[in-house]
Amino acid sequence: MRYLRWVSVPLWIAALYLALIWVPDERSLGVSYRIFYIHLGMAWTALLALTANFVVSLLVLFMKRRRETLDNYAQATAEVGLLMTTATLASGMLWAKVAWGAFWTWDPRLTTTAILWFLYAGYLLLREAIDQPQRRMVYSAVYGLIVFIDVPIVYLSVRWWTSIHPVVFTNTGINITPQMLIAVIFFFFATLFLALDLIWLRAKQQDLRERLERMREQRLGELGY
Amino acid sequence: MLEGRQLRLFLGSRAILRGVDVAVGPGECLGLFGPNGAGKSTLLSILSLQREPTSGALRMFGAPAHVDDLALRRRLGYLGHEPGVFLGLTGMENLVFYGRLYRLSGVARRAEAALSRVGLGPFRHEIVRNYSAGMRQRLALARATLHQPDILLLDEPHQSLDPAGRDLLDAEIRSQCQRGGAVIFASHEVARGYRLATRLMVMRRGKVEWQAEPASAPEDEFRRALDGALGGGVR
Amino acid sequence: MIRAAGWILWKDITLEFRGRELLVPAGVFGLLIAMLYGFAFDPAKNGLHGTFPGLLWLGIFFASFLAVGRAFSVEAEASQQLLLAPIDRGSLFLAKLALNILLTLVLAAVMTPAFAILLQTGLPPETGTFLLIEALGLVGFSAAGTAMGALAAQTRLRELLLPALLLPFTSPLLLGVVSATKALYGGEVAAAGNWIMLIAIFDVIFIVVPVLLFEFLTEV
Repeated sequence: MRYLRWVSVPLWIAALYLALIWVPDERSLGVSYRIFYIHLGMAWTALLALTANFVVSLLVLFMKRRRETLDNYAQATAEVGLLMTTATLASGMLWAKVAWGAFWTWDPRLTTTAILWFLYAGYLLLREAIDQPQRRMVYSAVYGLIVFIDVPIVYLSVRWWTSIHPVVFTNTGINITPQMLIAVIFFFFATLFLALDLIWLRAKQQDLRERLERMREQRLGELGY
Repeated sequence: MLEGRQLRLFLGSRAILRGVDVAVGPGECLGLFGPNGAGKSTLLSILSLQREPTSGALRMFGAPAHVDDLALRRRLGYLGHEPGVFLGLTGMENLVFYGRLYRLSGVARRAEAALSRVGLGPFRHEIVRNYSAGMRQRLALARATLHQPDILLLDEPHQSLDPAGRDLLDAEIRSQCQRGGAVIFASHEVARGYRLATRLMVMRRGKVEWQAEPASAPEDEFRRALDGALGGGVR
Repeated sequence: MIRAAGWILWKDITLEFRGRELLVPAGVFGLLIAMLYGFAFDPAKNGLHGTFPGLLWLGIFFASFLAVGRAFSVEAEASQQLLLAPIDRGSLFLAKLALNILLTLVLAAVMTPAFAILLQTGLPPETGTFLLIEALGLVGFSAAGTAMGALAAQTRLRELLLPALLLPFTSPLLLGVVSATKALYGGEVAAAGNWIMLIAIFDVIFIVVPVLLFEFLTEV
């Protein structure tokens, strides 16, 4: 896992070159549309990280062993997922300002993503607010499961809601050329590998912190404290 | 009746229990002593099936004990630090409510009997909010013994009881043992605990430091063991 | 499981009748919202029919929120002892859920007429369907609120954490009930039907899933 960076750094350099220099400007939006590559990669990675959080939460509840390690991954996937969602929203808003003339519209995708952001911000708040490690592990896993089940319902309701709502801005479909597709794919993998690296680092760091605490506890016990 | 072997509990990396062996048989009354933080309450919460130990084997009535075994819960009685009675209900309603959850027959009759046994007969239709701390503790004792458990687990039960209440509690514990039941209690009451227990156990930092039967250990030896544990206990 | 839940519910209702710790503060808050909306939006000049569903439902959600959020902290110390009793953990959840449904229904029964009068809109047409929307919406809100309330009750922040957990979570429900009510005002009963389906799906999922998962919460 420690070699992830050897993959992700060249991927980033390649992806940045492809997206910023190699692909030509878009006809109507000019240079500004290039943020779209970053945006799309982040969005897909965010969804994958949050799906991973769901899987890990399931495992935490139903596996008997190695639950502490799994819990560290639950924390890491949620944090990276939220980070990527934030980046998706931020890049999306910048793009929307240029393309649609407003930072925010109640487009189904935007609305769903915003709700998603709040749901996982709640997840991290919940973790933060529980001191007892076992309880934090189980409670956040239960919340993670329930929230993930909520996501499709959120999506469905937002779709229905906005279809009744007057549509102010329409998403002008961007025709993807093969050249653009290559840049998209490169950026997706660059972001994905960055996310994997971050998740692995964060879980590893938590694991080390726990081991350190255990050693400290054991040493204190030996000294008779 | 109850046997725990090498019970350990970790909260994260913090060790609360570091391998405790504990056992009681019919008619036995085990007293747990030791400084705050020694793990007495934690041990009682494991024995009363409120939480699972991180490792170790717990057996009751000849079979492994699990927290989700509802039939087993019916045979245990537990009284914690706090009385944990509903302040907005009357004494009678509290007991009847618990009797229903335990599916006892003749709930009202049993509740009346239990209330007069702990000396709350005249106050049975009064809201618990108006009870004194000692009366609440007496009600809690009545609740813990209402379903006639085989094993009674008491966490510092003498606290907040008046002298008469303490004698009443001791009588209750003795009669539980005479019936062939078992009692495990945690206490800071050295003299009273020494007289009450059929076995003494001193804990410190999640381990059993010393144990003996009062018959073979004079009270001052017990006091010395306890002082030793208290001295090095909390820093 | 149902029987034990019934006894626990009986206990909670008795406590609420004697203490009135949940309904009275939440109900007063609910009526207050109606009055403040009246000041803020001036219904005499601007007809509020378009915004009424949103205002009403936000009001009901916020007032319910007060009651549901506190439901786990009433006599919390004594309730802890219930875990010793030989009862299925799901019955604790069911009892709290039933209590929360009752509380929110009473709140809505007080607030809906008050909103209709003070905001001068009258009740929506198709009152029967509207009552169905209210009932289903509040069952869903109570189910989600009970699940999230159980989580929040064991944290350092307690009820303070609940808005952050519950409100994003119930956003599809809010969209559902507001849109369904709006559809009734617009005479689009078929559209309302779709939304009612969505609300019902939410209800079923978030009653069943927490009942299944509640056991995990009481073990640690």
